Amino acid sequence: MREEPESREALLERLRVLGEENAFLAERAEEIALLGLVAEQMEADLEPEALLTAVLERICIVKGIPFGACLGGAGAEPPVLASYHLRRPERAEAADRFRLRPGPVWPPARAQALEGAEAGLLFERMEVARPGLGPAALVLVPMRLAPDGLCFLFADDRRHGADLEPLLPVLERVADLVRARLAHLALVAELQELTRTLDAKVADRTRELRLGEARYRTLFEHVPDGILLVDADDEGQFGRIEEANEVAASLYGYSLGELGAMDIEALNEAGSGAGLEAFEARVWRLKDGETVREERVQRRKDGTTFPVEAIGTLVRVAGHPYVLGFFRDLTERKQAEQLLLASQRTESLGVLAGGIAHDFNNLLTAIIGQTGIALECQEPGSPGRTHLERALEAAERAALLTRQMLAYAGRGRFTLQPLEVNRVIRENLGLLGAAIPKQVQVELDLEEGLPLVTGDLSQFQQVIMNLVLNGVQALGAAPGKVTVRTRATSLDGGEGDLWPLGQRPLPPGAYVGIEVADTGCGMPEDVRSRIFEPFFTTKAGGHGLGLSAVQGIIRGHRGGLAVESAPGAGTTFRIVLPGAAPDLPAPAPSPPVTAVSASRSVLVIDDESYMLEVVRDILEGAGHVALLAGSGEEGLELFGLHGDALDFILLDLSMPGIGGVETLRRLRALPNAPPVVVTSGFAEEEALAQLKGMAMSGFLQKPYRLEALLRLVEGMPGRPVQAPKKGCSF
Amino acid sequence: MFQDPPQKLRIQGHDLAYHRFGQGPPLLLVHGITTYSFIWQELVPELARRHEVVAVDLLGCGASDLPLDESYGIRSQVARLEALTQALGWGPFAFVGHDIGGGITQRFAVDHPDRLTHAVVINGVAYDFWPVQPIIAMRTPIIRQLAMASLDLGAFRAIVKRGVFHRERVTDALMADFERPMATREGRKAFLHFAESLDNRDLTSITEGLRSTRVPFLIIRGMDDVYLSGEIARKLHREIPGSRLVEIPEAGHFIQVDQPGRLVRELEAFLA
Repeated sequence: MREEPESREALLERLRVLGEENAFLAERAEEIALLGLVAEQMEADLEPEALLTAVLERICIVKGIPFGACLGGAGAEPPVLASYHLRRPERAEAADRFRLRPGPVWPPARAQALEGAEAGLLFERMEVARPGLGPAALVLVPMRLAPDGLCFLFADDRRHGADLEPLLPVLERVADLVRARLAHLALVAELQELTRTLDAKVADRTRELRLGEARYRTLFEHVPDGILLVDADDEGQFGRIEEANEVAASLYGYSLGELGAMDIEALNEAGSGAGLEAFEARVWRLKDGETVREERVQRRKDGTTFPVEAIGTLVRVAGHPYVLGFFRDLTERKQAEQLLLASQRTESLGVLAGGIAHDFNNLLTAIIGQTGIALECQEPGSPGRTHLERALEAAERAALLTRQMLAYAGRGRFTLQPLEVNRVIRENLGLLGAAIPKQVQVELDLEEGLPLVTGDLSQFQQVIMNLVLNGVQALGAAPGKVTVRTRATSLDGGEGDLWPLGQRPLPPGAYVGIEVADTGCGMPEDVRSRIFEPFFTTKAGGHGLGLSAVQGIIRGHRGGLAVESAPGAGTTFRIVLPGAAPDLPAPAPSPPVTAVSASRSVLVIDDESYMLEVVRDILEGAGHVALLAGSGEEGLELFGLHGDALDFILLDLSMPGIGGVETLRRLRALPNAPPVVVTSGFAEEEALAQLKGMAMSGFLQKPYRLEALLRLVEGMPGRPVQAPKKGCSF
Repeated sequence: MFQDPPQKLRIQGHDLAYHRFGQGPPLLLVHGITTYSFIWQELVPELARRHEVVAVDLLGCGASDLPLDESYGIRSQVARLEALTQALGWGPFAFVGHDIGGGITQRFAVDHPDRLTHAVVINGVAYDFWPVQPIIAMRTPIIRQLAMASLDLGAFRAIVKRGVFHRERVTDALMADFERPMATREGRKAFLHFAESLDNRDLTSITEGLRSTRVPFLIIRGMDDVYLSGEIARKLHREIPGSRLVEIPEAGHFIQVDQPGRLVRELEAFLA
């Protein structure tokens, strides 16, 4: 049976059906492709706005829709979160605006396609920023379950709502994909924010901890005491040092690493015995908040010991008990205490020596005066004369001793003038020549052009003489050499401490250094440390005042003195003296001795009766008149009676009662007071210091010979000399 | 891509980019849709030996401006190219167009016959054998395909490769040249606007003009062009008096990629 050929109509019908099938399949393929393109964007690392724009572009291009936007869910004018316009240049501003009519639910509950007219029921105004998008069909696709009510909106100016209706299913699926992605992005962002916050918190906390750690570490390292943290747990490593600071390490001579592994026992002085045990017992029995404090002797790594003040307190770190120990090195303090003691001793010796010298000077004045008078009364060639002269010589030597004692005490005669050190040394050595044995070579190594120093010439001579003779004596009978060396030098801020003579370090500045070195036998330490003490001597016949006088003089000159010596290695004395202030006035020349031309009436005020007597004897022997007062009060009284007749007053400064200073003050307050000459067993400078600026007419240092007194008395204006009262005159 | 950046001329308010080589009788090379001046890169060194060659980027393509409020249709492109060649100071010149550029060649020959010494249409559109616009914007199959391709690199690469007979000649560098305009949203908009601007009435309206043109025409067809029917070339040859038809085997739509040497030889022979 032959099959009838299909009619044309039937074929056309089949073609039409196939065409529709084809179109349907093409649509399906396109939808799948669109979902693929959208899914691709989900994979891309896009921020929400970029993601929405990319998705809108893909929908618009694939579906041929000119405009798409994603609107937010809030307010009468839902915000446009992203938009795409096929015909709008990319660089143009997307100022699209949508204003909802009051009433309809926004966003709509389901996806829908609306004709332009229907759109008007929803939106009061629709402004898509690009002219030419005419009355539009609208597609609204809410993102289901999106918490913030997002909604896709598409506008097409060429198709009707019904044409767009078939797009709704695929657009809803796209919306689902986007919503899921946005939720994911929001979570990621939230997570990132949390991580960031956490990171910041961790960083802050870490910084704080580091800062705290650094702060405490700095504290720990910069405390001036050694700090040890010692395990105090009976069940732990009892006694083990857990932590130590650098100060502790340097104190004990260990490295930090070494200290950290040690037992605290190893730092104790070996064989400390019961005292240590008692201390340890107190430490290990410490209770919370208790502290022990004790001076202990500790041992360094090299075995040497040193005193510390140890303070221990119980602390707990995370519940674990430790003894926190502070160790303050007392070495310097102990040394300072020793120095202070020595200095106080020297000072009291000085006061003592000064006092003795003063009293001796008074006595010597009387002895010398009276002996002088007696001598003058002897006939030339009489046998008593030799004895008196010897007595006078012995008194002069005693006066030299008192001068040295005063020099040591810093209360010697003191006339300041600029001195050329080298010149003084050369002249002095010339004088010494005879006293230096032949086997001793004295070598001078003097730097030329030294600055001048300010000082008292005779005292300075005394220093040079004492040191050189000291060196010569150290050589004994053996041949050797004494070297005198001078150098210009300077002290900077820290070097003044190296000259521990005065109470204060030497100020920085220019100095002249003097060195007297001998190649003699040297001194052991126990001798060296005492040579400046007064009355300390190792020489038979020495009186122990030479070097102490040197020390007193150098101190008085604000200089420094040091000695280096060791047995067999000779001895070197070093002196530094400050360079002279340039404008020191030259010393005034001594007034010439005037001829005896007048008789004087002198009021003598002194608390020592033998002084009064000797002065009276001298004055009266020379034809003068002496009124004697045993105290300041008595002197003032006598002055009240005889003031007008007096030529001058000889006043002793050191007296009981109102004393010499007050007496002088009262005398000077009187309108008719004659010149007042002050006399003292102390030096003139000290007298001046006591007078605190009060003027005096002259100064007479005790002891003095009768010539000196007479020269002074007769230098004053007065009456003609009368005949002496007594038989013998001079 | 040519090594040097293109030169630009301001034509009718927008920049047109072009590459200019050699000296001799002027020769204008005009690309089609999905390409720009790079498509001529293999031919230019040879052609520039005897001609002053300008390879232009049409408005909306390559390095030229990409405005969306200007038509990229054939008639507007003809007007722009006439202004460009005037601005270049050219007298009569030879016009070579590929694909849509082939359509522009026909329209230029009809509108400005005195400006042309020769007209060459290579795998060109003509008559109504191509998208009919604007019936339903963007909904014709070819446009839908191009639209999808602008977003989907896989699809785009397939379109390119289907247009080449010797697919091994499509190097990564060459593919990158094809893809470049699709890399940005702006480029994609311009590309779609180009597609949307196409209107076959620009060519159906010059059917009579072609029948009476005195401009010498060479019509070249790649025998393996899957996009444009052989009937287009044959009808052009039938209808344009004195025209020459060359059909090249083993050549697809992008014949410049498949047979650059052969193409140069045919052009040199025609232009000689």
